Amino acid sequence: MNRPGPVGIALVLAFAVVAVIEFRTVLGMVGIDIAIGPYFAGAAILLVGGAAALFAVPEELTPESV
Amino acid sequence: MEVFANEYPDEAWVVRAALGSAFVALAIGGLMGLIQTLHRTGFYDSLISNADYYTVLTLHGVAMVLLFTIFFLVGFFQWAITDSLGRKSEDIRITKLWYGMMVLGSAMSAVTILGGFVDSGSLSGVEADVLYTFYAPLEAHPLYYMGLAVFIIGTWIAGFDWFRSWWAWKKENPDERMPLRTFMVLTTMLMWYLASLGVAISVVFFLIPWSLGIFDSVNSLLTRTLFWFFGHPVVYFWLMPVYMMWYVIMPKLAGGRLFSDPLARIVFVLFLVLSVPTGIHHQYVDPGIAEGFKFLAMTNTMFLLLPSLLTAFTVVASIEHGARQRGGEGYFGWLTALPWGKPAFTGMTLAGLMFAAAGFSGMINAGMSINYLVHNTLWVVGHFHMTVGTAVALSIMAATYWFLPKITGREIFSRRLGLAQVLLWFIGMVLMGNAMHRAGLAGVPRRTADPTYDQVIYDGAYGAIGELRFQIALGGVLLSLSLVLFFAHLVLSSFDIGERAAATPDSIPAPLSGPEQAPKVLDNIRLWTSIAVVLILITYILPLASIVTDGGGWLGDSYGVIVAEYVLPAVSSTIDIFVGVVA
Amino acid sequence: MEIHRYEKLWFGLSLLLIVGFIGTITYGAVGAGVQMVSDDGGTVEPSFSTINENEKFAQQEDNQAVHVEGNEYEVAVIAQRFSFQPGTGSPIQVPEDSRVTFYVTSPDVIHGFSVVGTNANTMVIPGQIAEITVEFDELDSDEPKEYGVVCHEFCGAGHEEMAGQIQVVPEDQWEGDA
Repeated sequence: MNRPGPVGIALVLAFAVVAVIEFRTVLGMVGIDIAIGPYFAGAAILLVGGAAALFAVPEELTPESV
Repeated sequence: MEVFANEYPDEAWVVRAALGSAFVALAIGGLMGLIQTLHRTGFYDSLISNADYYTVLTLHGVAMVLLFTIFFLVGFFQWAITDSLGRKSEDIRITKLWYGMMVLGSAMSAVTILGGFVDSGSLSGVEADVLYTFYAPLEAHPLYYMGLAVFIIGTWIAGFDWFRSWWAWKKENPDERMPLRTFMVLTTMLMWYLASLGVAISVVFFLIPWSLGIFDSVNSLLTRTLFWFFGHPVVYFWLMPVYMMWYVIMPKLAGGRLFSDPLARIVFVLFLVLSVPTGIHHQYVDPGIAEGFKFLAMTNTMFLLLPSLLTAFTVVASIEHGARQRGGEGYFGWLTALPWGKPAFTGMTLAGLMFAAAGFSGMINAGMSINYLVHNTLWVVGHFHMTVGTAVALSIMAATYWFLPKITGREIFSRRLGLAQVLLWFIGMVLMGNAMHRAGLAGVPRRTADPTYDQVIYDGAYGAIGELRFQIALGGVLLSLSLVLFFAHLVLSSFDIGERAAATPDSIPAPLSGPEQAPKVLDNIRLWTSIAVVLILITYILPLASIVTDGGGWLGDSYGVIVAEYVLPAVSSTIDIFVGVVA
Repeated sequence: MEIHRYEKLWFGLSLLLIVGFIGTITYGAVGAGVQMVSDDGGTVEPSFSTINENEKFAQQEDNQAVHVEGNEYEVAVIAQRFSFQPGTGSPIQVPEDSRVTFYVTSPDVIHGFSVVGTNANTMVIPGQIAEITVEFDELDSDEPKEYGVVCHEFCGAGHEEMAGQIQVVPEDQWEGDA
């Protein structure tokens, strides 16, 4: 498989943010509670990573890209 | 081929105007949404009072689901008709007339809603705190209902305008098949004529005279049933332009072509036939409607899953074909060959993905006995924020990145910004939508300024209520940020910073299985409309008759006697004749 | 018309899913006996005087369920802006291990009557009497158990205040008719 480009990384991180936050709820269901502070800090880092990846997306606008 | 904006400048003006109106409504609705999400979760509830919350909620509902979606639809459909038939509007004055009527109607209703914020002065007493469902006997200012009627008549004229184009084209091309996009527009509009009849009757014959004081009362269950006669099919009216995008634009963006033209036509025919006779599924827990009628509506609703499941197949098959044309390989490896760098493609794909998830919560809502658990809870709000709020709204915003150059003749500002916007919407809505579903399962009601009560303890939710509240507020804030990015993008694009002219579009590629594969009968819209009418009569005649005859009368307790003596015998003899003919 | 093989397969599976859904709901109605709110409750002119003359509402003297026979009871509730009568002022009392039929109507606008966290849920529409039958299990302890009741349909400024309670009372503490 190809090495993922910046767009791929941004997409994967977007899904990761969501999964991480929902995962806490799932853990809560089975009785494992994680403190909310570090948890959302972790999610925020992923979000920032996704934003950074977006800045690496090439901005060319060819007829093909419209 | 020329850019649409240069080839059809008059039509492009109407399309731009309609999209402009849609986005104004989106901005107003979005601002109201932010206020609501912070107010009802308790994070910031000092901006408005609890009483004003319902004015905000009314504005949010009307702006988002009636104005934003329908204004976008008429603009997009005008493009689809003009572009697919390759002919100018038959009479551009008519085209401008219906757009003008829709604006006028929106303004009339908006004034009455905004009056809800004003407690004194000339606007005091002008209010419409009735939400977008306006269940009588909650009463709005007459102008609210009149504006709604003018708006709907505007959409009727729009449909007529598009039929005229088709009739004229047909005369010149008697042997050609109806182009796919025209087929989609016309079947959708036929569905809309049938559906909006319910709300038109409710508003014109009952609510306007009643709000003007000509009648003393109305039959609440009757006007409510007429509302839902329109209120469910209207969701397909929001969805059909999006299906058109998924069928027509997405395969092209993916580098391929639509998998099957006949299957696309079948899907739209199924929506025409089945959309309307389902509205009673919003009334599963209404007294005064017998269980059998609810079961009938449920069966129709479940069969309405079919066109959406077929769409899932066709759209995924089409983009997979596109990916393989671009060199994608393997069972799942082709996913990486898709053009994820295009905000239009990524946005629409994420919207489609969320629609699949929301489809499953919709199946829960549709099951009439499971619905007891979730009816009028926040679950339902979660459901429609993932359907109309993402499948439709995100697809519209994403498609705008593709569509805008066609109608303005200039490129959009930035792919990166577009990608950031659609991803942020997706993340925000997963948080908000999911938390709303879970809160609803715990019993948190919808449509309230403050869901905390001394008498009620919510438990049983996966995750504490406090955490769900936080996720709803956080999701709402992210969605608002995404909207800000979207509007920034529109503004920056209109300043034309790069001076880049829109790329000359290649035409929409022909489907793998073309229309020549579709049986001619699929284009017989008269036949499908007749079947739809028969199904509506079967589903609605008996419940409506029993709502009117079982005590409520046409107008509730007043005038019921007069109506019972004159109107009812006429109706029942009509029904007798109808039954006689059928038997 | 050409329909591809995978399309046919998908079409078949989709139909199977739909028929399966309808089947499970039908089983729920016929086998498990989950009934829908229907038109069985009848109609009543939406005003206090006529509602209070109605047989079901006339027999509701206080906040206690009225005994019918065996373990069957009835409660008539008026939902109005912005309270349930009974329910808001003092909790509706029902005995444990009972089948209670609620009759709910409104003299003013449309309301909702939803027992939070359960599937007891109905709309309350002026002119119509909603009828729902709810089964209350035996209690786990000697303590009464409370359920919250909310109005879940917007009924005017003040809607967010409209709530009440149902209290399930242990059999030996039940003071009403039995």
